[in-house]
Amino acid sequence: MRATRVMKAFRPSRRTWLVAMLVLALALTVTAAASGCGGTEETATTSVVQSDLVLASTTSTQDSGLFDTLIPAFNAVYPQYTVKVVAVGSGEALKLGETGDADVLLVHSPAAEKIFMDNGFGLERKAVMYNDFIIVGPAADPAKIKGMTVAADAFAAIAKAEATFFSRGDDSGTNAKEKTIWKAANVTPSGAWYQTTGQGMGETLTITDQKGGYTLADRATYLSKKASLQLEILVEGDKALYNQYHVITVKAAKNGQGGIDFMNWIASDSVQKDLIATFGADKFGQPLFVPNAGQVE
Amino acid sequence: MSVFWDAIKQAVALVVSGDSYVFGVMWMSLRVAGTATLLGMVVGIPIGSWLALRRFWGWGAAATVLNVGLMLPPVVVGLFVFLLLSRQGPLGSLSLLYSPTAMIIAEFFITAPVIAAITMGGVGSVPKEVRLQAMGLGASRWQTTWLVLREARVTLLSGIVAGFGAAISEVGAVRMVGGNLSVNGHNMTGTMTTATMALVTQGNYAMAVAFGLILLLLAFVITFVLTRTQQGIRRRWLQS
Amino acid sequence: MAAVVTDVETVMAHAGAGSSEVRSVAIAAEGLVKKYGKRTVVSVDSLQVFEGEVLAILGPNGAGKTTLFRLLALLERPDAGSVTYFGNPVDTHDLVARRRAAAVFQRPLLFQGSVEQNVGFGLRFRRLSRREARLKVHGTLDLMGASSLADADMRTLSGGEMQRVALARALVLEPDILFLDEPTSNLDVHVRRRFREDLRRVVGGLAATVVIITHEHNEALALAQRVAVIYEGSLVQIGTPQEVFTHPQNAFVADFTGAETIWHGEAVACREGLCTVRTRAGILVEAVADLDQGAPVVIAVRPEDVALAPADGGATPVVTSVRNRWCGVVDSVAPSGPLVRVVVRLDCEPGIEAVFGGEGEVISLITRASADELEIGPGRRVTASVKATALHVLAG
Repeated sequence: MRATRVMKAFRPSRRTWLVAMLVLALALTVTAAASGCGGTEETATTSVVQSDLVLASTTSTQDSGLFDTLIPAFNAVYPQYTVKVVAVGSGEALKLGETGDADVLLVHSPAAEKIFMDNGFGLERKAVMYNDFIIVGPAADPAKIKGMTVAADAFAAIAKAEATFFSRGDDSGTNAKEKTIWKAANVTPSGAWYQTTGQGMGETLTITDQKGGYTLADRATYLSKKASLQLEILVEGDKALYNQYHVITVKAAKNGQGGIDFMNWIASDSVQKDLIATFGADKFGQPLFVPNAGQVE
Repeated sequence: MSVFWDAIKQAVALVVSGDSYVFGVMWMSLRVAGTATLLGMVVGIPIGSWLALRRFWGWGAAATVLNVGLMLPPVVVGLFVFLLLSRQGPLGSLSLLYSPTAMIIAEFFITAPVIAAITMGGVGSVPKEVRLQAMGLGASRWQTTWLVLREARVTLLSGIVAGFGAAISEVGAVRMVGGNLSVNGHNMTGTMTTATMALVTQGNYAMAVAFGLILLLLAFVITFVLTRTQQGIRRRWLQS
Repeated sequence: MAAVVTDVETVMAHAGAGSSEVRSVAIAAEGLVKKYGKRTVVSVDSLQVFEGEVLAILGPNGAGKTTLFRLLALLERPDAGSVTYFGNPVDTHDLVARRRAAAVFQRPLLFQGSVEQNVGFGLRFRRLSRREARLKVHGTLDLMGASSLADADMRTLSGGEMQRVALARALVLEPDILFLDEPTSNLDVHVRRRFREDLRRVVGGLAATVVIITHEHNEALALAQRVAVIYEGSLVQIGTPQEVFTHPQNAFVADFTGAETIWHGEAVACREGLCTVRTRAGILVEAVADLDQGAPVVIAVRPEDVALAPADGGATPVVTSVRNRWCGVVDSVAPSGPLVRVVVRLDCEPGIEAVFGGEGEVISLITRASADELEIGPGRRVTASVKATALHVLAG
């Protein structure tokens, strides 16, 4: 039967099979060994004992690309840490800090953070940087919110017009901020126009863009994705849209020292001025974050 | 271990209480995977049989392409369908993205190659003489094809199950084109797999475990039924 | 199922002597050619199968008989030529024509299901009610002596039972033409005989035209009314079994139909219808023929025509009409049912130049009783004798 004849034409001899299996097994072993060895270069002169450092942060920070700059710089000073960045919503990040699954947190959900510290899960909490949220939407702007100065008013207008709005609905810092704005607007959003994605900032922006709806986004993620989006910034500048990031060391951490090192490093002058203050400037024309360690609580 | 037990207890409570979101997501999973598998059968079985029974110029290439379908990375399928349906894409004007239809389309492109490839293998293993014998008893070409499909039915069934399994367990592609959207706690485009992913990110382990348990249960039930059917065929043989 | 008589052939009736009978043709094939790639597998100029007869197509494996069968049964398209059933041209797409025939293949190829479902398979295309179909199925199973198997799953059957069911599956359709491709080849030897007897009984009782493909001359002899010998894709002889076996037209047919001793030689002298032939091995043979001097010739001898007599020392030969008496020694003795097959090496013939290949042997078939009485065993000196009239003289 011809199908098997085609397949039989490819059937190698028994010896070829054994050799192929051996090569495959070898390749797999080498790959496994290589990936297990951690990401940083081993210096020939000093033998460094690697330890894992789990940093739980938000999807907004990850999607902005900040860690691609920060982590290598951190490793240059502290080569002994293999940093594992887990990007989840702030709510989940705080949960990971609670259970000790993360050693240090970089989050932007102040209310939830305060509860975290009050419950004694955190060791120390320091401000790192801030940026702002923006309300983005389609150029057509059916709810006519462009140029409004008060975020709550814009939300009210959207609710009144029943324009499609996408909420992250994932307990993240962004989601928490969104909820406070709805509260300020005295609106409980419900209806077919108010949809929940349950996903990170990047995905939510894509969905909002494709569906021509409105959403609340952090400026950093928006700018980093701007090229692929047709969404426009419609409302910005309201103090209510202020977005503060904190770094928190965690009591239940496995790598407590690493957490402390990271916190001190990210709050240090050189990092604040040289890395954070300039991040994104060449690419987006403006820096995505404003460092403010030590300036605020 | 308490993390597991807590989650399981909460999960069972959710299911038992008939939580509307949970059941909405369950139904979406089954509906999307079921429809995609049905469409996959309608397209895949004829193509697979045709390639097994007929020869033509370029057959070798076609058969290879079909077998590639077994190894096709679903995330590639998802990307392809996403670009196809996105606003900038050729079918963007249909506004299909982030709808159950989009998910069915993506899952169809995952199940159809699987079903077609396994059908081709199964039908191809039926000896050629069986066809000739059927014709020698007066069967028309269609009747002969039907007989061959019947002779290969055990393999065909496992192909359909494999296709359904691939569809209902798919995460990445469905997430890309479905968006896991919900409105007011009512599920719109979330499936058990994409909802589980989002729930874990949010820290809602109880609901995630609920979906995980349901998926496992579904896998067991289907495998059980399939195995019993295959054994039933064997048992009748042993009894007589 | 009345036959349409439009084509008529006049032929000497095989049964009676001297009476001419008008016979209608069930299957006629003209100029059939089938190639696989560059190889011509079948090339048959003309073949007619008469209505109601049993025709055997006899040939070795690879001769093209299965392909010819498929072409006649409309299961494959020929590259050239035509086939007609009862005068009407037919081809593979002609479903009506195909449903007048039924085929049984070498391997039983039963479908998944019970025996009853298998036997009833073909009836489904012939518009019968379920009840009618069931009655027919059980009737045919009775005929084949397989009623007890009706509910059995086909996978539980033995080889012989499967072949019986395959045959029932074809017979239940009451076909006008029945094709049997090597019906006993797949069976164990001890099952084969019984099956062949049943086959003969069943086939003999049918009004249908039967075409049997086989590579065993005994089967053709037992079952067929006419035999067509096929060699390398072409028909080399057609006739009644007696004609073909006793008057083979060439060396191949002779060999294949069981004339086991074949010698090549040259006619030395002929007088009044009796020729002397010298074979390659130098043996002198006298045969009834009419040949030119020096003409190349092939002599074929059937083992059953060779008689043996002990030849050690002394005893004077009895004077008989047998013209060929050759001296030799028994090389081997092998039982063949109730008979004994003896290979005799003719190593003491005067003029024998070399004993090479089969040219220096003669094969004889004698009863076991004689073999015992005469104490024929390896090493025994014997005289082999064949009547000049029993030798087959074929063109060289």
